[in-house]
Amino acid sequence: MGNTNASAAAFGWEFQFNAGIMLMLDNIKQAIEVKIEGETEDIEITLNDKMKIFAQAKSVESIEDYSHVKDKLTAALKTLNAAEKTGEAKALIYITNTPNPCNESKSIICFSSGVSHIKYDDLPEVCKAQINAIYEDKNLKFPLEKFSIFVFDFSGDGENRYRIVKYKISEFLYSLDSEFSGMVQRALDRWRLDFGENATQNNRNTKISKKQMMWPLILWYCENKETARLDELDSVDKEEILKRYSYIINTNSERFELFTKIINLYEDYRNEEKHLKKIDIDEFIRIKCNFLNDEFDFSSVSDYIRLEVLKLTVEKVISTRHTVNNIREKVQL
Amino acid sequence: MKFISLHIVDSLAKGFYEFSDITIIHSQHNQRGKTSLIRCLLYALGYSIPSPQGFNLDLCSFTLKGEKEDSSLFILKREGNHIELIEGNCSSTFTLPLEQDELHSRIFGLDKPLILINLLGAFYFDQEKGWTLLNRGTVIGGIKFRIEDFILGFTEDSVAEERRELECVTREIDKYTHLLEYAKNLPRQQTSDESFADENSIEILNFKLQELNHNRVILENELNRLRSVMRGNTTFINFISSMNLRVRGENGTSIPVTKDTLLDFSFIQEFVKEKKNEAQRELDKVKNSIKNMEEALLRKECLINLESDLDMILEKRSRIKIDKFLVDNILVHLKKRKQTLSKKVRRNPLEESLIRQKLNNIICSYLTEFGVEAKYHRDVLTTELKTLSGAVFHIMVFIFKLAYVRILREEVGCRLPIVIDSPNGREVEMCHIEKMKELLLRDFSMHQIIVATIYNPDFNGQKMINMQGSVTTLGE
Repeated sequence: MGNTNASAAAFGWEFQFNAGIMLMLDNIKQAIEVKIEGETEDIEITLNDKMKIFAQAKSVESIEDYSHVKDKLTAALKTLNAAEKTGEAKALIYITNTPNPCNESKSIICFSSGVSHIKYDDLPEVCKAQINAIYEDKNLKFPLEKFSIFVFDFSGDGENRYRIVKYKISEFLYSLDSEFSGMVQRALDRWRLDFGENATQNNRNTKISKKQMMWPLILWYCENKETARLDELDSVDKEEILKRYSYIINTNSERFELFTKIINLYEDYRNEEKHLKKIDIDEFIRIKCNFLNDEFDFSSVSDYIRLEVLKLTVEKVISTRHTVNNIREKVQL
Repeated sequence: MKFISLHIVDSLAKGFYEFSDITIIHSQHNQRGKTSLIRCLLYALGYSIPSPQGFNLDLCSFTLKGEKEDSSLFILKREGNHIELIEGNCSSTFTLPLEQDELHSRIFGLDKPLILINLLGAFYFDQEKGWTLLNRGTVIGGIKFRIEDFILGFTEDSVAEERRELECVTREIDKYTHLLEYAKNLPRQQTSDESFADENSIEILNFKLQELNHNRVILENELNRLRSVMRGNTTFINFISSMNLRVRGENGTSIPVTKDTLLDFSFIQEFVKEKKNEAQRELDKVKNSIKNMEEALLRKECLINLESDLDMILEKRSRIKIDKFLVDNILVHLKKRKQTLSKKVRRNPLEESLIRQKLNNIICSYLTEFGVEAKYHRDVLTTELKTLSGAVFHIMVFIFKLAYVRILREEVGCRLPIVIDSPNGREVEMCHIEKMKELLLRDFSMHQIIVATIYNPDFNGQKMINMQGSVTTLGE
């Protein structure tokens, strides 16, 4: 008996923090941070305008088991009602994995498409009726227009469970930049860890900021770009550059003075060469980056290597700048 | 088969003995070499006889002359494990004990293996064990007699192969059952691999640890680099800020140059900071792995540093992984095979009972002759020996053996010599000795009889071999 309770609780927690991930991604532009509390089954997302999204996460281990769905709905509605009283609620969401959240078999079809987020007004009549009944019965007061039901599939064993979560992540990453698509599993693994996959029963509370969620992505992206760029080089040169010049390339692309100088020169160059569709890095370096030669000690190095090192430094600066800005804008970081 | 003569040569001395139809090996007192002579005789015949006191049979050479069933002569020359059989112009060599059965089948004219291996028990009464061997037991040394096999030997044994395999399989089942028992008694083993203090896995762990430490160093260097970059940036911005510069913005506003207003500063600083955080996170992970690996290594190394040889043995023993599943499977397979074979090998009850019946008839009539009460009569396959008194048992042994010899003669035409060592043991009454003598003379006159005794049984026409002290004497 104890064992099934423990595993049910573990499943419940797993659903809850994944629901947190789903909701964050859904609201990434306005969200600042998410708070997840295992005991109360709360998810609380703080937004830019200081308002909050309150969500109640209820899960079923077997999605064909409708025996408790009504109870869960009732409990969720009651808690959301309490949340409304804080005055900070912008939205009140009941998030669950059962395709039958209102205990109305006719409504199952509406919630069976993997992910469905339906506001109160758009719910099927039978669902509304159920909700209204509970509303009346328990004397609830929250404004129904703030209420919505969010259903996503979270069932099965092993990696199967994460099918929909992965899909969401994949969608999100693609929206940032098509080149992010390869990071889905990496992002999922990282967020699962950060959100408390390994939290023990007493520790199931998490607070994650948007920054915490997004920066790893940015860094990985820059890393990938760099690796891809290095792969273009001859393997011998690549080895030499990595061994001897990584330090220099990295440091110089992170030093403010150089960074800002290169960026600004680049901006100037772009403005000057507006007619060019694509900026030729080599050309840019040749014309504008002579100063860089003074920064490095290139006395004993071949011209080819020297040029490559310069190029890598400049590219790194520009790419970092571009990526970070891009993502920041997309997610309002 | 009859013994004719025996020539013994050991390093120091020789001995030569001739045997006739009735031969008495006699000495006044005990310990004069009678038993030794008999043993030499049987050894020369090719049997694995244990050496008597002070006399190593393997170091002597023997030449035995004998007569086969068909009256042709043969010579056996034995030295250690080599024996040469000379029949007329034919000479063949055999290696003992491997080819013993082959040799004996030539000498005795029998080809039934089950009878051959039980032959000695049928005709030889050993001084020590012979008088307690009724129908199952040891004849001498490692030679056994089994009545079931003896009787079976008379029937056509078409399932000899299966029988042998059955024996093998039964032995294997025993072995594996023992193995399982042993496995049950092994000290309980932990499920994790870490409990096995394998030199190999210590090597592997060390290697992994090296790798981890290498990574750790790389990450630490990176972390230091990032910290120094951040410091450099902070220093730079502090420197600029300290100059209290101002720039003119649009609409004539004046903007102070600080770290907040300096474009891209916060950008780069945040970027570097996040990078640093990631590196720290990675480093922590690696440090954790190193800690775990070091702990694991320590545990293993403790296991290796054992105090004594005994610990080492016990530890090695605990490492023996007996795959119970595999052994169970083998046993199931073996048991099935045993069942199949047993079915094939099932004795032919009809024929067997015929021989058994004949034996019982002989035994019964002889027992009656000896005046043994009916209640003491036993079936030839009996195992009920406890209720017999010493004297009755002694007589029974005599009669049973004679029954074996007789049935061999009657069923397969094989006339064995009857070799008796000290028939007078165990408080046998004189009248019984007389009876035994009478029986031999009456029903077994066509067999060679050799008796070793300190008494004189006084057979008609007997030849006496007087033993003085040892089987071989110097100077002859």
